[in-house]
Amino acid sequence: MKQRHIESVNLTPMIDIVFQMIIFFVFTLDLEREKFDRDITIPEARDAREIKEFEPATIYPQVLANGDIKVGTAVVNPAQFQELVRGAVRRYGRDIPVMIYGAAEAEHRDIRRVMDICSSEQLYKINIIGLIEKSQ
Amino acid sequence: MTPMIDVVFQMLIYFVLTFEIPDKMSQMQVWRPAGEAPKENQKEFDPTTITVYDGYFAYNDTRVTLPTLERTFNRLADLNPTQPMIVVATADSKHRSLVEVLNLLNKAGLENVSLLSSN
Repeated sequence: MKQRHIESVNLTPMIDIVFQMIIFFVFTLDLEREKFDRDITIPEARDAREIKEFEPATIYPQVLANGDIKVGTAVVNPAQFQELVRGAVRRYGRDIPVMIYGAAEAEHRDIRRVMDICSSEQLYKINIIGLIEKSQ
Repeated sequence: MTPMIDVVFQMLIYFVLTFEIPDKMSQMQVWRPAGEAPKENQKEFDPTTITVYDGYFAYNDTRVTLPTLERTFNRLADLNPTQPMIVVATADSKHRSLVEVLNLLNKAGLENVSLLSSN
């Protein structure tokens, strides 16, 4: 009797590589990117201290060129932003960092409005974010 | 095994398509005024004031260019890198101009910076 021989492709190396790629992407997944609107062009500050790590409990107000305030992906009005800052201070205390991500073309009066809200909640230490290098 | 490979490939496609190299960013720390200043410290220092206008800068009320500011900051930092610097930004000045000044202050090593706003 003639025996049928079925040849099968060995998938093990491919699965190994695919899993390694997934592990790479999971570990390099940038969860911070939702904090900032990539359409905002921030001013360059190549000589300032590089941000290595973003602290978890940080307030990141974004100021658009037209003066709108954005937190995460939502546009908020000054009263909502104040409420948000107040809540963060209540939860994490007055050492909570504030990092302003302002558009290069925004006027200082709009940046000031954000800083004044932070100051009214006794957050006097403010960090301004600049760009060292834009990724391609 | 086929369903698992299907799922794994879909995950791979998702990660490849959403992968982005993050921008390199920097931070410049400033202090905002806290209402009233302590009176006993008022005479202890004579802070340097840099004013940011819409399109130009002033150093202690004298109009200056950015290279001049940079040289001045370097000189001041050599004398005392912890001395207080006051940056005053006018309401209609662009945020870009303020960041240019803060960047130069950081570059010189002057990090005791207070930011005031004027109309």
